[in-house]
Amino acid sequence: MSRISPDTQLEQWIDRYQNLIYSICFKLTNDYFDAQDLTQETFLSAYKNLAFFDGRNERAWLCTIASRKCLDYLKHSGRRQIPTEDQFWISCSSSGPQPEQAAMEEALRRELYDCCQKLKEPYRQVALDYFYHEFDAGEIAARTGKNLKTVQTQIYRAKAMLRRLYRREDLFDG
Amino acid sequence: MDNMLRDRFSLEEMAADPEEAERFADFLEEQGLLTAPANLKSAVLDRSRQADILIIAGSNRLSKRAELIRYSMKIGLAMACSIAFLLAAPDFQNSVPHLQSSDDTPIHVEVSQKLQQLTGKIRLFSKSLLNPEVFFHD
Repeated sequence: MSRISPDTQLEQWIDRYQNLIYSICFKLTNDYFDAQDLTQETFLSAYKNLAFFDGRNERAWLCTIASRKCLDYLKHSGRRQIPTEDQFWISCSSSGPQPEQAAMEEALRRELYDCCQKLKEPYRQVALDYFYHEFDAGEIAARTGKNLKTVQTQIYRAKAMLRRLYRREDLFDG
Repeated sequence: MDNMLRDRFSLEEMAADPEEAERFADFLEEQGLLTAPANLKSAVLDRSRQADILIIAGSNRLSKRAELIRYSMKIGLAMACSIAFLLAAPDFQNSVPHLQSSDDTPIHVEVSQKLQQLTGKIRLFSKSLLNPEVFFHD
């Protein structure tokens, strides 16, 4: 049995499970950016602790890490109302998951677009390019003629602003 | 809302039990997964190459290897002690009084005799290993 390198293993896991882990994190936090961060943390934690993985069920292992990350986040964030029994009631429909999921993705993207539009320039355009159109920083720097470091700094700041916008909207939604 | 099902998942249980976490994952997959942002993979890979992550990952791998080496050494030491004990043990065969064999020899006595014969043979063999001339030319 050939052993693959940790870097290759990480890449394979991301390819196989990123949608699943992201869905778990989003379902538990209901926040676009926090879900991204928690997904990243899940894969990085798996990478750091790869030596302690028994090799039996990687899917279950990654899901457990994601759940722990979400639990820690919810306990420490102080922004979210945690159910008193530490349990989540998740309602699901008994029929037709696919159309509903597509609608949910569309709603997410619409919300993201609207939040990006609320930013001032130059952050608005950078946010749209990076978060909505999903160009990477290098591509944005090439098309706008800006310095890569400048673009990266703007992305970082835009992300912080978008987080605040998301959270403010969450408070209003209740 | 009439057809709405309510499934209950405990986040505490999901964090502690991989089976529960996997059950939640199955549930989400049935519903349909969201698409992760396109830059997520590159962000994770870039972050994984940073020094702090590499150091932790590397030290965890080392500690796992050290644990394995320590375990192997324990086993090796136990085996070495066993062999040393066999070599250093007194000659039981000669010190135990010879038991008269009879048709009514109790089982425990027979077993004891057999064990003595076995240990005697092991001692002879181990002695011959220390004296290769005897081993090769005897």
